[in-house]
Amino acid sequence: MFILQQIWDFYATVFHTALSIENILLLFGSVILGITFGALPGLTATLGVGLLTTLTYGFSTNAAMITLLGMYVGAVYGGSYGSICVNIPGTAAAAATAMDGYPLACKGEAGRALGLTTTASFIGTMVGMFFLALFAPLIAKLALQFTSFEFFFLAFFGIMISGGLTGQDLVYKGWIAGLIGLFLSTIGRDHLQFFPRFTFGLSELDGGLEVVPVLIGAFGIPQIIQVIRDQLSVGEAKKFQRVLPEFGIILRRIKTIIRSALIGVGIGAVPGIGEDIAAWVSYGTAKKASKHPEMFGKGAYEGVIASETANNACIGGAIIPLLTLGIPGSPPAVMLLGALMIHNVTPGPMISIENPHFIMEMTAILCLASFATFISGLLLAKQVVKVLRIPPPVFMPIVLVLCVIGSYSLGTKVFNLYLMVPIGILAYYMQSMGYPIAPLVIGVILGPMADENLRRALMVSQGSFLPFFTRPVALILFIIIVWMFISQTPFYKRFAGELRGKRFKGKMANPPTE
Amino acid sequence: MDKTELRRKDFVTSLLLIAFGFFLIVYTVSEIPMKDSWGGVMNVWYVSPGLFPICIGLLIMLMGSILCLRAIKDGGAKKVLDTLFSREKRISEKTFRFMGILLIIFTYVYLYIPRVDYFLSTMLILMVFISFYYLDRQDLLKKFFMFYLTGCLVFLILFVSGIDHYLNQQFLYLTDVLVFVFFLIYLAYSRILIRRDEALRKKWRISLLMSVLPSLVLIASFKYFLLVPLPVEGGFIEIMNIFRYALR
Repeated sequence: MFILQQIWDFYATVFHTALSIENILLLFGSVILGITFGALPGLTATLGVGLLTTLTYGFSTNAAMITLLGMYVGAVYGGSYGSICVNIPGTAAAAATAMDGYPLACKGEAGRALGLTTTASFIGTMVGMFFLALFAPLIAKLALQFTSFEFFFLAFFGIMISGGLTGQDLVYKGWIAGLIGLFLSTIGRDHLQFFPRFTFGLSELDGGLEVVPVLIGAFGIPQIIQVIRDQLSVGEAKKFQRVLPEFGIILRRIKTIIRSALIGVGIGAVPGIGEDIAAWVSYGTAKKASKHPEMFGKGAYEGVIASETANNACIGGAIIPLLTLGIPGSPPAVMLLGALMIHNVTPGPMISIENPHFIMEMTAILCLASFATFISGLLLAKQVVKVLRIPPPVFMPIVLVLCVIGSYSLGTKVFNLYLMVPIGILAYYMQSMGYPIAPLVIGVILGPMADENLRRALMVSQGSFLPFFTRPVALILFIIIVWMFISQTPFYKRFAGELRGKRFKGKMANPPTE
Repeated sequence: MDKTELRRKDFVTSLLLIAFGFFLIVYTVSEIPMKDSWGGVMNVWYVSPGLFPICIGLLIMLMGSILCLRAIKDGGAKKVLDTLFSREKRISEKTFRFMGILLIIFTYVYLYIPRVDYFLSTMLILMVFISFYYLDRQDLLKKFFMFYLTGCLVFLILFVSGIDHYLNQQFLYLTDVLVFVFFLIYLAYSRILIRRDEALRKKWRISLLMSVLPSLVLIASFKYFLLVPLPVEGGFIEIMNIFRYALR
C-alpha cells in the first residue's frame, strides 16, 4: 500500500507539473538558465542555486523546487560546454570531462562529445532519481528511530566526513573549517533557553546569522575575487554542427554507465562531497577498468561518459541525506536546504510525517528536470555556447550585484550585507590557504542540530555520557568519528606504513604460485 | 601556492586559531551562565548554552595546535621569521587587482548602499568594476583605482561628518546628485584616458552599457516584480516610480 501511494504521488506530481504551462515555463527557463550559468567559467551550480533561491521566496514550495532543481541539474550538465568547447570547465564538476571532451572537440567531434554528455547526464540524473525514490522513504523511516544521541553524532559525522574528504591540503584543515562553521552557528540566541551568545549587544545578531546570506557570501565572494584576480580568460570556442543523442555509443558502454551512476549516487549521499569528486572518482575508475587506458586523455568516449554520468547521478544521491536526515550531500544541496527552510519545509526524519508527499514530489521534479535538460541540451547547445564569448570581467560584476541584492532581499536587512562581505572574504582567504568551504557552510547548517541534540541528550540522561556508547547506531558513529581522527595522526600513519611494509615483505618472501 | 609559503601562512593561522579558541572559552565561561539561574530556570552544566561553545573552543585549540606543530615541522615557523626581517615588500599585479576588488566591494556595501539611491550606487559600482578589469591594462587600473579611491574618501568624509544630512535638508536628493556627478566625472576621466585607442573605446562603451542596462533590469525586477523595498530609494528610483505608474 505504501509503495502504491508513493508511485501515485510520483505520477500525480509529474502530470500536475507537466500540465501546467506556468510550471513548464519555469522548468525550462530555470534549466536553460542553469545550463548558461554552468557553461560560464567561474559560475558554479552552488552559486546559481543560491542566487535563484532569493528570487523564489515568493513562489509556492512546488514552484520553487521546480526552479531550483531545474537550475541545479542544468548547471551541473552545462559545465561540460566549457570543458568541451574551450577546455575551461564551466563548473568544478565538469573538470574531468575536459580531459577527453576537449581532445574530442580538437578532432572535430565537439558535437558528438556534447551529444554524449547530454545523453550521459540524462541517464545519470534518472539513475540518481531512481535511488532517491527507492532509498529516501526507507532511510526516513529508519531515521525515525534515531534520538538526540544519534542526531548529535550524525551532525558531527557530517562535518567530519565532509571536512576529511574535501580538504585539498591537510585533512584537519577541513575539520577546522567545519569548526568555524559550528562557531558561526552559535551566534545569536540559543534555541533551548534563548540566551544571547556572541551577540556583543547587537540586537541584529539576536536571531543568529541568516543562512542564505552566509551561503552566498561563502560561495559567491571568493568566486568573484578568484576569477578577477587570476585573470581567467576564455579562448575561441570550438565549432560544431549538430548535437544528437548518442544512444548507440552509450549502449555499447553500458557497464561504464552503471558503474559511474552508482559511484555518483554513492558519493552524492556522503555529506558535503560534491559532483566534482564524484566525476573524478568515476573517471579514474573508468580508466582503471578500461581495456585501453592509454586512450584516456586523448579523446576516449568512456572518459566523457564516466564523468558526466557520475556528476549528474550525484544530484539524486545528494538529495537523499538532505531530505531524510537534514544533512546536505553536496554544496548545491546546502543551498537547497536554505531554500527549503525559507519555504517552511524542515528536512529530516519527520518529513515523511509532516509532508508525506514531499519526497516523491522532489523525485518527480528531478525526473522532469532531467527530461527538460536533455531536450534543452539537444536543441539549444549551439546558442548556449555563444555565452562563452562573454568575458568574465563583464559578467562577474553583475554576479556581485546579484549576490548583494539576493542577500538583502530575503530579510530586507542591510545588516545581512554587512555580514555577507566579511564571511566572503574569510572564505576567500581560507580557500586560498587550502581550507575547503563546504565543511564551513555545513557547520553553519548542522550547528544548531549538534548543539540542541547534545544538550537534549544529556538532559535525558541527567548528565551521563553512557547512553552515547550503549546505543548501537550512536556507538557506530562514535567509532567512525574517532577512527577518522586517529587515522590522521602520525602515530597511526607510521603504524599503517609499517604494517603495509611487513605485508609487502611477506609477499616478496612467498611469491604467489599459479 | 608552494608548500613552504603555505606552511608559513599555516603557522600564522594556527596561532590565530589557538588564540581564537582560547577567546571562545574565556568569553563563554565569563559571559554565559553554566550553573546560575536564567529566565527563572535553574541551570545545570549539561544544558547550559555555554556547553557547545566551550566544546568548539577546545576543539579549535586542539586543531590549531596540530596545525602549528605541522607548520613548525615543515619549516613554516622559520619562514615566518625570515620574512619578518626581509625588506622586500612589493605589491604584485595580482595583489593590486585583489585590492581593487576589495575597494569596490567595501565601498558598495558599506559606503553607498546604506546612503545613496540603490540604482545609482549599483550603476556606479558596475561601471567602476567593469572598467577596472575589462579594459585590462595595469597602468589604467592604477589610475582608475586612485581616482575612484579619492572620490570615495571625499564621500566618506561627507557621510561620517553628517554633512550629507544637512545637504539633503537643503535640497532633496542632493547626495544622489553629488554621487551622480562623481559617476559622470569618472566616465569623462576614463574616456579621456583611452581616447587614442579604438579597441579600448569599444570596451568602454560596452562597460557603460553593461552598467546601465543590468542595473535597470535588476532593480525594476526586484522592486516591481518581487516587490522588494530597496535599501535606499532616492531620486533615481523616484523617477523610475513616476515612469512605472505613468505606464500602468
